[in-house]
Amino acid sequence: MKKNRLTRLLALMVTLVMALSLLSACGGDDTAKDNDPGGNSNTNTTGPSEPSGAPAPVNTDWEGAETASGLSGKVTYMHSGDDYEREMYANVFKKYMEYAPGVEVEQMYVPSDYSTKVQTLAAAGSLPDLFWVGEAGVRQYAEAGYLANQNEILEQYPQLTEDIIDGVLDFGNIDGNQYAFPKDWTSYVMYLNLDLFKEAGVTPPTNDWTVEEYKELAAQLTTLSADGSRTDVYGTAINNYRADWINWMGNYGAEWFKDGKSNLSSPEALQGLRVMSDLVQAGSAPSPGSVSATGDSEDRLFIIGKVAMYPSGRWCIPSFRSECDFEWDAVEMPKGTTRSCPFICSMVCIADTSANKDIAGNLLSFQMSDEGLALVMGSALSLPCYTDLMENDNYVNTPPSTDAFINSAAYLGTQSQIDACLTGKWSEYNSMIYANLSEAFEGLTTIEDAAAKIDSQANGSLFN
Amino acid sequence: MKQSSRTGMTLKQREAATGWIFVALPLVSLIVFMYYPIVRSFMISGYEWNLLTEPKFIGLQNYKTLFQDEVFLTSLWNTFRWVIIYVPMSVITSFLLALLLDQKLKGAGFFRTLYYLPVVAPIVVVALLFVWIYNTDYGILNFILTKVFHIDPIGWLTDSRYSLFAIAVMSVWKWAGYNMLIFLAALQGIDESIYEAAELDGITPMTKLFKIKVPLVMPSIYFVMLTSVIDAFQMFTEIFIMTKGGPGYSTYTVSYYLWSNAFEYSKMGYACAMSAVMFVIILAVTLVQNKVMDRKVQYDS
Repeated sequence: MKKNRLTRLLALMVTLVMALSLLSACGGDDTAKDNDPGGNSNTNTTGPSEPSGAPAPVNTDWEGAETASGLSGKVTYMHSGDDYEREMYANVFKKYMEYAPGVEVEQMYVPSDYSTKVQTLAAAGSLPDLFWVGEAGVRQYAEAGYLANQNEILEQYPQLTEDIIDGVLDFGNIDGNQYAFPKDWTSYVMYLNLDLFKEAGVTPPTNDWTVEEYKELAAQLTTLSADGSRTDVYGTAINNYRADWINWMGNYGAEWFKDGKSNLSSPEALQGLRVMSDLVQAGSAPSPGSVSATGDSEDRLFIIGKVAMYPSGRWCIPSFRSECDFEWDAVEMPKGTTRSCPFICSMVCIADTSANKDIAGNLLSFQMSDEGLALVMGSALSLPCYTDLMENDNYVNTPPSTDAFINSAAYLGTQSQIDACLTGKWSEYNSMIYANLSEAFEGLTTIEDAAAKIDSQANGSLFN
Repeated sequence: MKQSSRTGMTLKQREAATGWIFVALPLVSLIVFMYYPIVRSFMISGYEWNLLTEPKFIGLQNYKTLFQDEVFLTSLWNTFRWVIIYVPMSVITSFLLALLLDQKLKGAGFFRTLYYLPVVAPIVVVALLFVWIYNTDYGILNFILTKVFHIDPIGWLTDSRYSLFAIAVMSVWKWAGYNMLIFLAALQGIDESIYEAAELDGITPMTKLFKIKVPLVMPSIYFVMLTSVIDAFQMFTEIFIMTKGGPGYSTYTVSYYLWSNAFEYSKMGYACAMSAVMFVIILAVTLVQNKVMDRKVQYDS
């Protein structure tokens, strides 16, 4: 009996110890956990770098420095991107906390499935203080009341809008109120494999080239295998991606989204879309489906020297710099009847529920300051939204030549893109365009039929 | 009835309590993670809800829209096509493999492992492997077809005529080993004396197969058919990795379109209506299958 009691006592003690150890393991780092509304994101809390009251760095042009030194509290900043971007923004927050020693910025990095994460946090009422939303998602969040109006922040920090590129604020502006601020943008340009041009004895294009010249060059640069059964090098590549369609249609001045309706069947839009399908049908570009059916992407084909001219955004540059073992450069996209550059960007939003909007605004102001942007732009993933910085090689650096990027700022964004994005239904519209164009690119239907189908589908179910 | 001095319960009551404790955890998780979401999704299907705003009750509007939605109808048709292509292919292949391994072969264990190996391989890896096999320009399949049979390269995943079939072949390769094991276990459970008696009567191998083996493994065939049909109706991963529904909408399945609506277009109510329709379809098909096949199943071997 005594032995039994002893066994029970021992069992009880072991259970207690296990339960306590489990609880302490769950406890972890209180600071990080308490402020992680998402639970499983990678959070990196960099606490106040200096004890409160430490002097702010001197000799700064950032207008918010003085305000920053008097702020105290904590904000969470959620963003997507790759590990490289995570590190870049960790540096931005670290630098900011030198100016704001009383502030703690918690970095919430979400490497994948970012949009779902933001939606879920919004639905749960746990949005972080600052977070990114794509250029097409602002209206949905603003109309649901999740976004703080940034008008006052723009007034408090005039440097935010000083020298800003025309039109970039429009994507975050709803009925005169700024709900999201473009953190950067990316230009769409044509990357060139100069070694392939040399091999083919073809002169590389310059910024003033036209679509006709582009098609000709693409044909000249396309080479077949010795037995002629397959293509060794494609003259160019096309992406079944929004930036591509917007660019090509825009280069013919198309109003592809007009009066709240899809208008891809307009002659100008068709002319732009035909550029893409003609290149595939002529064999000068692989069909996007056949590329994705390799589990790969068009930019990899450029990197391995299988594509001579590749249209894409600035985000390709870090991988091109490290992986291309040939000479390469970039020129503007070829001119149709006009020129237009799609606006691809993530916008910084401040949650309406944020208890520290003053800090959030100050942090946004720092991120967008010359100093903040310098910590981000060196990587060449994107471009600054300010005209003065566009011509500064600390922000827009080489390789490739910067002209193409600088020039494209002059024709950035179209009303069609702004209007389509601000419908709040872009995601579904985008899927319709993607699905129907993929059939045309695979030669299963004509581009005219695909465009007509997109218009009828979109105007019948989304924009009716 | 003797009562425990400590708990004041009878032995029967204590046994019942112990039983309830054992089933409580799985039961609670089943209710919380299975039945509640099912009921909830039926309820949400009556709302217009984008996760961000307050749900707005719209009655049966989502269902009305659903049956006018061309993409949904295409997805539904593709899903039925998938079930019709995949299930027979999968069941027949698994059964044939099981029949082969049921022979008294040297190294049968090795082959059993070999055929089961794809089941344990991650689906992403298998899908990417087949994406390369099927590649129009560089894939081994087209290489063989071109070089040996002088057939022009086929866009296995880029031509809407072949894409669903090509994915089905991959799925069969991936999952055949699983059902094969079930069939093999059933075949090996048949009493040897039945074969011996039949052989004394001079039975042919074909008669042996159709008159002895098939009837006696019918419960397994029934189970495999039932689970395969249910799985096939929910097919998602392969499409997500290999074609993203394309080209066009040719490989859109209801599960894929449902996912797009829920997590890309933020149309939760609409997506839930789709899941409710699928629930009803799967239930109806299962009941019909149950009715038809139950008559053919001989449970007592």
